[in-house]
Amino acid sequence: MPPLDIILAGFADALTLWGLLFVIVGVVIGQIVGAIPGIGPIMAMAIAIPFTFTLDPLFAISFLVGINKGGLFGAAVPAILMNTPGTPDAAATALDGYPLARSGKPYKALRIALFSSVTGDTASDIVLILAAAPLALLALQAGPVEVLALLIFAFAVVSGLVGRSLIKGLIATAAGLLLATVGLDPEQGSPRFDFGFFELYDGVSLVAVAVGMLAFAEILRRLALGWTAREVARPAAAPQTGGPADRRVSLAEYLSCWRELVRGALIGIGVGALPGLGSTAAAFMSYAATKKSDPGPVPWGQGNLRGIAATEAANSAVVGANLIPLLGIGIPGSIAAALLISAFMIHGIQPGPLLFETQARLIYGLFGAMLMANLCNLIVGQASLRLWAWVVRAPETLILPAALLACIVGVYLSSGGLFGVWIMLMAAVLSLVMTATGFPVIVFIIAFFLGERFERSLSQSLVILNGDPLALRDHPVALLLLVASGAVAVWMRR
Amino acid sequence: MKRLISAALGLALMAAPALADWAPDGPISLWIGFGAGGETDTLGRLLASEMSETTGWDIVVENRPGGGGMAMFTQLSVAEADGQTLGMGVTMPVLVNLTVRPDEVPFTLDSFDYLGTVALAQVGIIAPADAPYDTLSELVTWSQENGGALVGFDARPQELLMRFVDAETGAGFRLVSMESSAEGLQNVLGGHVQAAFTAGVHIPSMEAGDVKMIASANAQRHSYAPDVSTVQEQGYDIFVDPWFYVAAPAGLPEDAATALADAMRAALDSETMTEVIERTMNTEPGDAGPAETREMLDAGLENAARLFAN
Amino acid sequence: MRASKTPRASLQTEVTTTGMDRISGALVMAFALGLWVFVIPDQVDAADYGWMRPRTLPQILAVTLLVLGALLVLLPSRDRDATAAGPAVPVAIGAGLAGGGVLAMGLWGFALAAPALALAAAVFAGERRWPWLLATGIAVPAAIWALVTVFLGRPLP
Repeated sequence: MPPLDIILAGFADALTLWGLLFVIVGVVIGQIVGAIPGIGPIMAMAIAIPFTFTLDPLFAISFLVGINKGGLFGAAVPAILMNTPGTPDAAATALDGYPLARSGKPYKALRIALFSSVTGDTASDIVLILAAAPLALLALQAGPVEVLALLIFAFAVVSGLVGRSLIKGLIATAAGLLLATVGLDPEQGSPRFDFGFFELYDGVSLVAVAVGMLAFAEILRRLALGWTAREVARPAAAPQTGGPADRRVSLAEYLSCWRELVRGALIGIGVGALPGLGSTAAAFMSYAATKKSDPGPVPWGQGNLRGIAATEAANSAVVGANLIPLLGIGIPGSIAAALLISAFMIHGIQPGPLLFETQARLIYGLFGAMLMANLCNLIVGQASLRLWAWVVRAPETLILPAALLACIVGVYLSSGGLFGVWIMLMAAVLSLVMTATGFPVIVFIIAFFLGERFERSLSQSLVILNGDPLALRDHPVALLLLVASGAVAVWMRR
Repeated sequence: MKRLISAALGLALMAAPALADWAPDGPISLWIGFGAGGETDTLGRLLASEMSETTGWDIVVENRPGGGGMAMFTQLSVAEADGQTLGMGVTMPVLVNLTVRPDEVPFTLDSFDYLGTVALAQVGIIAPADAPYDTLSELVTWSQENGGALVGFDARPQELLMRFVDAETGAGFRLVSMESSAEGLQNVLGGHVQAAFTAGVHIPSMEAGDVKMIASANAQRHSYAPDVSTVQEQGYDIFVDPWFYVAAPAGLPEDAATALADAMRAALDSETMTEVIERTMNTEPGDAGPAETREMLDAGLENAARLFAN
Repeated sequence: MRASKTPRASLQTEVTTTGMDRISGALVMAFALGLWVFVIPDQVDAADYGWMRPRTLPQILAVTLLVLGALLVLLPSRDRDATAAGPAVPVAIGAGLAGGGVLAMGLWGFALAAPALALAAAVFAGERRWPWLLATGIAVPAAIWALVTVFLGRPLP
């Protein structure tokens, strides 16, 4: 650790009026774009980076960090209010958040999500600040074989968790992995399943599939229900009812979630420290672990506060922890982290092992900005949740077409054209068919998201092990995880 | 948001005269053949904002990812050649595809007019600092004695380069596919592979003394490591040179081509761009104009044919 | 799936739900077979070296799907809820509407197609009041257009 005066100077750099302003603007933008399906914080950051070139490096990075963190809570808003997650990270939040909102407590659902998100985020930021370098070194020990075992473990947890038929869960997993093989293969770079479309060379767009299956499918379903019901002027989301106790989250209620918060934050930090696994898987793993405990008066999946806390704490904790490999060894753990690297680099700062020596003051400034962003997220979130809850009180017939257009435009922008929009439509139809026939959509999506990483890890592991299963003896952690995968799939079914 | 608005207004108000007589009729689209957040994306966005600033033209950046730029160039080859649609990509994936599956690629090098190069990606081969080999040749010997060294690569030409060396020496390399340079570095640092190809991300770790470079995979040595010899200098007649470059659909009006190429040159020569390219790529901006870029691509196609010959 | 925990459905529904699972299982098997016999040979290059070849994972998955599909035919579950995805015919109409809108956007651009699509979707969902229809058909597309082209500086179709 650098001397205390440098640490304090760094924090002081961040805690200025200008610093605060950039963070707030970032958080506001992040919360807005996070709530709009298809646009999301990643795209906002990519657009903002060239504009930050002329800014002071600390302000530039604070601004981007603000967008990233604001997007976390933003994505949970439509998931809770309308069951249409802004990004797949928030899909798990909808499991308990949407039922709670529908039961007339949207404010309560949004608040517990906000508090849990900020809690998980702050916990992982503190771990990052205290232990980035040693944790990054520890994460380096996880090679391709260990990552492969961890992915198999994640698949086992998720297919065991969602849906009630293990066979259908496994079919969804295999189908998701199959969709991920579209595009250039990781080993030899030859195109697969491209059917003559160059657009498919980089694989099927993740955003298009996620938005199509999660948000667009739900919008189509709701539009069709409106057509069948033939009643007008239904609000898009259930309005708040009940007394003040149903609006707010009391300290006692917040504290009653402490196990979920701690476990979620730990899972999120662990997943985030390893590059490339992503917050969607973390949220579902945390939910899976929580679901094994006694739900108390409200069953899981019917609006349990602790279910929301588990998922939001985990997916938010991933974001801070994603910076562990970035600051520790200069390796981005996610797309958002890669964008932060390019922001660092255009300001002449090469993230890497020497960063804490050469740029200590800036790094502690960044840490200060991150903590400040968490606080801003909390404050801005309190205001914006009122705004969103008010917006979705408009008739469904206005909100649904608006969301429909937002999905189309968002996917058009982020996946590079109408081709992505068609993919989104097909994904939505597939999602509806899967729902009607009882195949778990979210299992499919997680397998699809991790599929590329899975195939690459499998390929790397086969080369490293030279195709010899006995060579696994040199990888005890991987072996342990593989055994645990089998056990957990059985255990989850009980 | 405030900055975005003021920048947008700034662009709208700036109707400064262009460098040549030609001026675009509306906004120019600069297509990036990769997704947001990569080197191409960062370079392209900065180039666009710098060109906008010097010329007053409205240049809009669009990401069109797919197949290492193949999807973008396919669309670009049929776009209108009015100078309002440009594309930025990397030479290697294009040359590889033109060599390996020319029948499936719906364009040739003739489908485009070239404006110039932006920068060269410097690709090096790195190893852990305490590894018992300091050069590629020594790695070959180590590999022969230890049952095959694990070497990470993140692009097809790098794999072919190693297979070429392997065929000449019988080193028995075991090649591990990586998603990116960063993953290659991570595996070298973690001791999971004996060496890996990386483009720039290894420099801080090299300065910290955690990794060393055993060869430059380019045709030249790297500016930041002048002591490390190239693969060619070590006796294997092969190299990879991925250039970032900008192209337009073929048949650009001459005045538009000149104006665009000049504007791009002026932007690249500006202090900002030189600085940014130095920082992000550890190299100077590319200085090839339209004709040299075309020559370089033709030469690259021959080199690619050699890479794929075995 | 534990039958003890589900509410007891009538015998007839049980038969049809398990029947549906058998049908989906058979379809998954047919898909896997088609994948193995026709699609993979046509769409994926064969390679002559390496542990993982381009076809390795797709073939593994095709076999996995075949086996799992067969298992589903043999051991159908009863947890299907056909109404979970909404009423089938209206959903299909809605999807067609959206598809038409996207097609129109490709042909005539966002400025013409988006208001039409938003309006059609609102009418489809049951809205009949003129002020709301106007808001949905004009204000919403205009706001999105302004956000994207003016603030984000991105072109729309």
